[in-house]
Amino acid sequence: MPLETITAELRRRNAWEATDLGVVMVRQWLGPIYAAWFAVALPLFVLLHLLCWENWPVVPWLMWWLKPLLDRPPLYILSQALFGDSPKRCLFWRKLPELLLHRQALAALTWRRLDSARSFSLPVSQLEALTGKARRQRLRDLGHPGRGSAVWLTVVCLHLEIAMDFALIALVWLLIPDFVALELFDLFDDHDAWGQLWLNVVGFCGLSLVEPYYVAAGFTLYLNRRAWLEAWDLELSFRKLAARLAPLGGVAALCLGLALGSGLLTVPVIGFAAAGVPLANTPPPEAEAAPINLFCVQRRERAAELAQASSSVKQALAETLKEPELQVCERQKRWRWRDARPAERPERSSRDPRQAQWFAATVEGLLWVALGIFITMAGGWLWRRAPGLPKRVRRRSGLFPVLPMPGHDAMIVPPEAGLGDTAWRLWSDGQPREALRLLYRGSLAGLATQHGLPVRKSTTEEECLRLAAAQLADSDLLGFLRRLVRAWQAAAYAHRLPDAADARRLCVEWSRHFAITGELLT
Amino acid sequence: MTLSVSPLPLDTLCHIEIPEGIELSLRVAGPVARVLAWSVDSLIRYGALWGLFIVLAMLGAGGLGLWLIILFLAEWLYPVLFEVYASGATPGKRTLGLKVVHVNGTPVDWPAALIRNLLRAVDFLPLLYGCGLVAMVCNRRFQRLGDLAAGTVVIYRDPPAAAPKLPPGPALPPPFPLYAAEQQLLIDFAERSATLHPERQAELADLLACQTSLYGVVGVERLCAYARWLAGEET
Repeated sequence: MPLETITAELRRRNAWEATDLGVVMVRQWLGPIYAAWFAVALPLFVLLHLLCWENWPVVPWLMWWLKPLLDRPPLYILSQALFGDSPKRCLFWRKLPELLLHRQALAALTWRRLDSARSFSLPVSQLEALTGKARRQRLRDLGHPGRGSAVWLTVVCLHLEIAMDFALIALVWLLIPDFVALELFDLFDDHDAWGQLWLNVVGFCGLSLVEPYYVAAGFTLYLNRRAWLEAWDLELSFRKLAARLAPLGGVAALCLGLALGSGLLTVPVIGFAAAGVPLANTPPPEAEAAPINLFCVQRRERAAELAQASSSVKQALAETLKEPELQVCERQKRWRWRDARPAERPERSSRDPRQAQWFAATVEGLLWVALGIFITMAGGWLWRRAPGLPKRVRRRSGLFPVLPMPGHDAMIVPPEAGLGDTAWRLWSDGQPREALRLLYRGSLAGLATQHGLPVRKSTTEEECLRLAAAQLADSDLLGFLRRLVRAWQAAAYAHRLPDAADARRLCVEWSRHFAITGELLT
Repeated sequence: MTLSVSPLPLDTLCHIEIPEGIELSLRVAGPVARVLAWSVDSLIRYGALWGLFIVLAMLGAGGLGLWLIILFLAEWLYPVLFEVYASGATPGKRTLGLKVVHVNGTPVDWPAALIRNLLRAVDFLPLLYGCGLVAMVCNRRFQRLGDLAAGTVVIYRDPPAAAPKLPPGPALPPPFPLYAAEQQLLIDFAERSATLHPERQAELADLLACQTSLYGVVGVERLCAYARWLAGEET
């Protein structure tokens, strides 16, 4: 059973989840499974009606009794499909008589007919083809926690089948128009032959709706038990892991080979090759072929020895050893550590020593240069990072000329002395937002250039105020800034303007705080 | 008879991706477990109603009226109340280890629980949950019509995670690098080796013999030692 080709996910499921997988399997292969089901069940249904002419009430009971045989074709399809085979139609028909008549068909119909976990034990008889004691033992091994769920499965499916029968009858009754004036219970009337036929057909439909699912669910319960007991999921994952680690396998084999000593090296190597480790198999050149084939030579000698023996068994053995499959001798080349080194050393010393020294000197020089560059860069970095260097702060304030104006990448230059007047003019011209913007920018420029505040592009209004509060001693200036920022925020973001008197005062105060120094600086 | 082979192995999981970009898989529950859960619930509900009937019938017409009201409420609200307030599970679902969640894995809320339980009436059609069963079998997530309308699924409750119980012995670091899933694999192997036949254990360990250079029982012991190291035991 090749687990690699299994088309269902192998993981540890609880019993109910396993039955759900059965439902998924039937859904996946609905066509083939139902084809196999109807291929047997439908002819049988018709045949039973013909055989039991005038005795049609017996037919549902006979169908029920023959269920164990009807279960077998769907299970055959399921077992094939699970391992990725699509069964040929002719193969199915050829297999069918064996499925229906052998494989303990008689037992299934007689003393095992009332087996309460029928669909769970079916794979053991049908797929494993176990009989008698072996079958009982196998079921005991598999059965321990699985059987209870299998019995519940049978109970549930039996009830579902009956429920489906009632549902079908009710469905027909619901779809019959009013003027027919049929009572629901008229549909259960089995006194005349047509009424009985109708009930038989309903029973057959209910059976067909449920039974393939029952078989599949029992099969997946069985699979789940085996997957648990035999750790199928671990096997698959181990195979994947081994395939992933295969390149490392060569090293492991080498280590083992070294540990065993050179005399035995060939034997484990052949062993590993047989185990499927992908190794680089290069066909040996003729010249190298002689010493490796110690193994082959030994085998050939043994074959010759056998051929001369008088016993017919030994001669047959010699014949077998001559088969082309047994004549393959491979040489495998691989890296080795310790043993190869002494051979290489004299070669290395034979090189020109002056050339090597020149190379070494170049590399050394390059390394010194790299170290110098590294030390310079590290020093520069430390110098720039060192705290409290006044030089750096002044440069920084000049270096960040961009102000946090919405939509403006404006510069920082020391503000013009007449900025206050300009702002007031703007205000008077009916551009109050522009005026406040100018004042605010001017203040920031003043703060950056005259008071050395590290104002950055990303600094918000609140951050400006916080910076100013931290670094400025002048409480008058601070108060002005606070009022200006509030006025600017209200105008910019809320479209609420200060009244004209406040605006005027801001302009005047701006000139008082920044204009003079600005003049001095410019 | 050609079979369609799905690209992914068949499974009953329902994969969802949460907003954080993590994929979760819900183990959605199919018909058998849900039929059994429904049966347990019915037994509880109708048993209780029957007991109540005996008591209330003694009170005459008033008692009978009260019983009918209780019957109505029990019929429609019993599953809703349990699903909303008892972490998505009626007593029957709890017995079978099931619970109801939204399709995206979040706990079921009032609207969804109401919709899925009021639409039982539709699932019950034409009789005895005929529509519900057919819908459940056809649906990829085993949703009946009520579930489809409410956007809910019934899933298996995950058992609480337990620390691995490994057989005692020395711990060794694995000589090859392993992904998280592969580390879990080795730990699983060590944990489950007690339930496996010794020959089967050796067979499994031999699959990795090329890496461990050890065969048979020694290989099993070595893999267990790696597992113990991976599970955090000291060397």
